[in-house]
Amino acid sequence: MPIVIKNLTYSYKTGGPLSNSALSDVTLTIREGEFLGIIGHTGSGKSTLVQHLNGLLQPETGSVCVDGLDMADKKQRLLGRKLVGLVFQYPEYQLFEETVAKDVAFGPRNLGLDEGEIALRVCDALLTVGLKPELFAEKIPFELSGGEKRRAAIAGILAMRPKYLVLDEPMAGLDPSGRHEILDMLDGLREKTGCAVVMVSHSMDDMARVAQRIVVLNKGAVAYIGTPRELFGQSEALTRVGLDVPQIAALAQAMRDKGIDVPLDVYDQESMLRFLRGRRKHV
Amino acid sequence: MFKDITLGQYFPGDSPVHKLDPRTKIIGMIAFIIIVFFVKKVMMFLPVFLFILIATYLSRVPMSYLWKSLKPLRFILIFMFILNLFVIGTGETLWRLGPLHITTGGIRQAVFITVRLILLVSGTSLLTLTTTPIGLTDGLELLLTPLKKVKFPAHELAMMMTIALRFIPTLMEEADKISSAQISRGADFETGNIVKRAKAMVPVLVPLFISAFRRADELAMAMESRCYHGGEGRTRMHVLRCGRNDFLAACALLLLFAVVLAGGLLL
Repeated sequence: MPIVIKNLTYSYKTGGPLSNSALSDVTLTIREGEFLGIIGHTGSGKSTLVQHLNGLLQPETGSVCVDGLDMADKKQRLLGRKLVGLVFQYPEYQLFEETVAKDVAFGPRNLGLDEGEIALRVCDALLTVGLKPELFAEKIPFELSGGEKRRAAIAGILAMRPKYLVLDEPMAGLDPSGRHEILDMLDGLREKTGCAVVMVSHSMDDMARVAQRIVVLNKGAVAYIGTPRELFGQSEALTRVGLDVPQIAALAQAMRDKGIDVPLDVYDQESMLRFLRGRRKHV
Repeated sequence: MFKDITLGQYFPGDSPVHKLDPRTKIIGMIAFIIIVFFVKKVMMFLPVFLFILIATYLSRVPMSYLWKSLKPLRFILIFMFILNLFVIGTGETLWRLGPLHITTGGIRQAVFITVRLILLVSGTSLLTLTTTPIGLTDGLELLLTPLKKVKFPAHELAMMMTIALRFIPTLMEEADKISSAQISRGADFETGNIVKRAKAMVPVLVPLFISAFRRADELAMAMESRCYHGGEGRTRMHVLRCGRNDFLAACALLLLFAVVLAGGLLL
């Protein structure tokens, strides 16, 4: 069963009469096992939306149902929260335990699992994020580098084995190689375990690389839902909501403008390389 | 869960009271406290109350705000009143039941304590309602400047207060974010006894402290790279000036003092 968001509206009340609506009438279904990208300008409501997915925020109007569990209901919310793992922005700032292993174990322990299962999951999660347990498990979190801390924090959520993994800007502040490693790790995890990955980002290039479907948020409303191929073919629509197409898609568009017949589904490195190689054979 | 905590209660405004020099208001408040303690006759509380009412009217702060700052104190006020009423044994005894008794002296004392507390809280609330926290620290720094002669760190103290006030909302927001993150990892802050709940706060407090230290470090770096080197030779952006209104406020307080003193002697 999917996560079903229906007519979700939410507004932050900042001091009395001033309330700005952060989300207005969002309707969206997150399917099992898909890689969904949520993209939007700063202040478009991305972070507000993901906090509804595990019930940290409750809708003002409308509803959020995770596998049929209504997140507005207190009891169902606690059950639903176990299905949805939410990784916040800069998750490394929430590390608090003495060792990496203990910190990763915090989530599973709160799920009430037995020690053997916890140890298994911690080891598994550390392996998934690419931190060798024998090297990192007993380290103090603050000794790790920035990227390692980020991964340890993500492992903390993975160890809870959520059915839906939601990440708010998981690559913010990382260098390109760090970004690619996290992206590939997420995609690999999705293929291996079949969990759905919902990723918030404002990098079009990252989205083009992994997302199967993309949701574009603009001023708290869904401006567009579709596959990357459909989306990146419409560079004007994206520019209208203040977003850029991925660099490769922009290049393809520029080539089209010059009269080179580049197909619309060329929007990332791989497809562009394939296209160029194909052309060389013709010439 | 942390967002609702507000420190300082500045009510933005443009009234004559808001525009008074913070130094005037700080000294005025101290003078007001002293005056309140000089009241010896119940009747003499009237001019003091009148003073607060007029000042509140001039400041255009709604009365309800003053009321709001008194509300949390209602239990202390009632407790003080009852305690004094039954414990003080001076004057004529009006009523007695075992060890409990009500005397004229007890009634007088109970009324005095309660009214004084109400006046003190209203007076200080009016100060914080009409003065920005920055204005307060600025005023305090200037008032303490003469003490620099005896090596008192007036500037440093004021800077610390300013920074602390500036970072309260930031840290609140951070605490909110961290606790949301830990709730997402299954942390439970809402059930269990006090010990369990206190323990549940560890995953929030540790990251919060670390981030506070990190911010302090970054801020120190940022200040130093803008050539901050303490208060020496530093000029201010807002130069405080005393004007006609400050003079009038001082006169009003002096008048109040005179009335209270005279009332105490004559009545």
